[in-house]
Amino acid sequence: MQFLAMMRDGFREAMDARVFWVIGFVGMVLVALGATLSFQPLPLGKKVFATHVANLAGNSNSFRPPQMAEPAAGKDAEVAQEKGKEKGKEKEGEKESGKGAAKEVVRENNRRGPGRAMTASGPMGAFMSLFSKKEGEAELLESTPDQGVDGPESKWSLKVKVSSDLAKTRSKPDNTTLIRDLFGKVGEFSVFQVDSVTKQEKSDDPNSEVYLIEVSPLPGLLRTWPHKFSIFFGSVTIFDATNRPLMPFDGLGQQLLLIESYLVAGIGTWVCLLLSVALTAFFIPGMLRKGTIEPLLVRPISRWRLLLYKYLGCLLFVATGAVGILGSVWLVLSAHSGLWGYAFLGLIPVLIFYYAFLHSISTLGAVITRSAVFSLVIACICWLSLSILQGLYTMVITADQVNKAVEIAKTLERKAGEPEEKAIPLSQTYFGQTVLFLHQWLPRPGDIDSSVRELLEVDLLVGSKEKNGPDLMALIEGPHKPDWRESSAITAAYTALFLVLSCIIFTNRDP
Amino acid sequence: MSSSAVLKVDGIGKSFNRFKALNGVSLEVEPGTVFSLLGQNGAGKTTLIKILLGILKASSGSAEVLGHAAGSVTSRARIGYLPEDHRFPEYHTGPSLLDFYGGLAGIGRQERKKKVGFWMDRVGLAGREKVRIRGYSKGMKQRIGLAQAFFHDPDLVFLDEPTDGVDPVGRREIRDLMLEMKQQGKTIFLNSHLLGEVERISDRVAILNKGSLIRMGSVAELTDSGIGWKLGFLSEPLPFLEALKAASVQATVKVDKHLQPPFQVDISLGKDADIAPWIQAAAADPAGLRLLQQTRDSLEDVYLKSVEASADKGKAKRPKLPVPNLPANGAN
Repeated sequence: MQFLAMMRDGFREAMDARVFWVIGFVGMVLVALGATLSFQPLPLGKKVFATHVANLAGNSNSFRPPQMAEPAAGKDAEVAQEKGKEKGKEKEGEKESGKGAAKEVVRENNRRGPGRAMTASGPMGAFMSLFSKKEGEAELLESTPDQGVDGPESKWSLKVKVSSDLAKTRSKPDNTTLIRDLFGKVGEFSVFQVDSVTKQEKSDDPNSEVYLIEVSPLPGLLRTWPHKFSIFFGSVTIFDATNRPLMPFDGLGQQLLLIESYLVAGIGTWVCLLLSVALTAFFIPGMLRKGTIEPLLVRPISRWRLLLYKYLGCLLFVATGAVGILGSVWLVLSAHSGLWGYAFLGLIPVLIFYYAFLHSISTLGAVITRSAVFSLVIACICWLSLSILQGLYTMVITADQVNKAVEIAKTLERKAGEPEEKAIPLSQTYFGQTVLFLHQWLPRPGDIDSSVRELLEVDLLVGSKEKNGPDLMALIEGPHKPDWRESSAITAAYTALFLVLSCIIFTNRDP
Repeated sequence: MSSSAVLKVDGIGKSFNRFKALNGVSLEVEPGTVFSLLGQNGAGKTTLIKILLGILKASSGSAEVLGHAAGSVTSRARIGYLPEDHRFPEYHTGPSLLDFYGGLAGIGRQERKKKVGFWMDRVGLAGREKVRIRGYSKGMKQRIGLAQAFFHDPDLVFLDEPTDGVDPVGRREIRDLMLEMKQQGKTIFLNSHLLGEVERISDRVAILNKGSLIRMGSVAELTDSGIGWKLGFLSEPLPFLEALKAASVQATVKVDKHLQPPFQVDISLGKDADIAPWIQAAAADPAGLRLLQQTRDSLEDVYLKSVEASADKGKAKRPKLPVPNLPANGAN
């Protein structure tokens, strides 16, 4: 009953402070803007499959969304690493220099073919570009959709010409096997499924072979299919690949990622988070002011409960706002795009968790000083400091990855007898050590946000967690890869600590 | 100490850093009475109340409220409180504020609903249900403050300046409310600067000065020590004055043509002295006795005299226990 009374009181305060109105307004703007978006699948099956066919020969990676190459390590990746280790045991010197791991990459790429090599922006992109070479010809001759619908949900019949020796360059017995194994795969993920591969008896060119391929769509096809993306009910077109080559942001998944990860999660939720922190920072100091706190303290409720209920009240309203806004945005975007990626909803607990952490700082500040301004400023300073630390941490681990990638690449290119060059990783410098130490021991709400965004990328760009190859990213990942469970536990521990301190101070100090 | 007392305070002291706000205060309050605490600003009245409510922690001594340690959750369940400079959350309306505090006091929803209507009406705020506290006048805030103090049917209510900022009509209404609650068996602990008001409704009064209890007793006990007589004459009553002087009776003579009669003599005989011989002497005086009136010190007189006496004693020699004329059971 006392909890409900505090909740109702908090609700009235939130309504009076216009917390709901402000959050609601921001949410309405986002939802209204989302409602004007439109995503129309373009009848560009020919371009899509031409790109996939070209990928068979390693001719093009332009259609590949870069984020696809950066999912978390999977079982296959571990296997690949283990293989690398075993080889390394055999040749200790190679292992030490990273040569064993690098050779494993080369072996894997030979197995999958140059076009299948992992490519990515950032360190992985630089690393893998060394292995992407055009070693054959592959060309799309015809593409016919089942029942005449040129779109991502149709089955397709494709006529493809490939060079006769293409299979040999990929260590495959024949081109039929090559097509069955590799066609329709982007990195480690399958975009569509090859149902049948039939070799045509006759071919005009003796050095090439023609195949009839039947393919069925997988979730990844819709995500990578080019869509016309426009805002304000189609009046302003943002992306339209009808009259130009395909670009990364032509894919529906990339377009949604742009909105959901960069605009909504990257800007919208932070604005809402800081607004919520700012507006609710006044609640607890308001309760603690002279003349207001006394009538509360004489009620038959312990002080720590009073404070905790007030805190939970704020949390509940922000949670309600987060569910309302992000849920609405998700519904609108999913309904408009037809792509129901549930990872976006993971932003809701992340936002609430982040708010809970910042509000615990604000509460402690309020209990110590009773100043709303101080509690707001201290919460903002913590947010800013941790954001900067998160940025520096990302910089250190990325620099380490680049360093390792370059090192492996140099090892592969080094001729026998040449001296080995090793750069000092940033994480081993005084600066890097300091950043890693602070990141290790301070709250890390940013890690949890990053983890959800990674999930969002996989969800929107691939639509499946199934992989059919090793996670090559694991080869250059250092020991400092963020773990969302550990980060959540540390951040939750800090939140609890701040709350316990607040309760102790509030209980034992004269108001 | 009385076993029936709802409030027992034993040597309560409170220091804020080096400043001693309370210095060994001891008192008891019987159930169903109105107990008033008087004192100058900064005397320690509000500090004492806050300690009894558990808002502040005492530096020394102990207190028991309704049979439980002061400030315990059990005792607070049966206590009402109107703070002096209250600032109720302004986003509330009167009913929502009462509902909120009622909820914190553990009252069920249906009962709260009934009580809200009753108390809004009882404190004269019926018809103002939709007005937020921020739109209330000072008097209205006092009224809603009283309503919240009595809302959960407490046995003991602490009222700190309940009539502050209230007009005379409202003051009378509040006084009536307090008396009504007293008749219902509730105990009221009152802090007020309005001594006339305190005198009218209090059963017992204590005077605090600079953190120490200097006097305590019923209103009659406190004012009885100041019983006197006023005699008025048409001319100067020389024989009568000579007789007073010879008997060493304390007398004050006022001469003013605007007074009726113009020659007036105030005499103080003490509580048990016989006035009859002095009336006979006055009547026999050729100056012509025209006025005979018994006078009694008001609570204000007692309060001022007590505070002044305390200050004088403090100047001469600080007493170990500066509580003169204290009844046996309340002395500390």
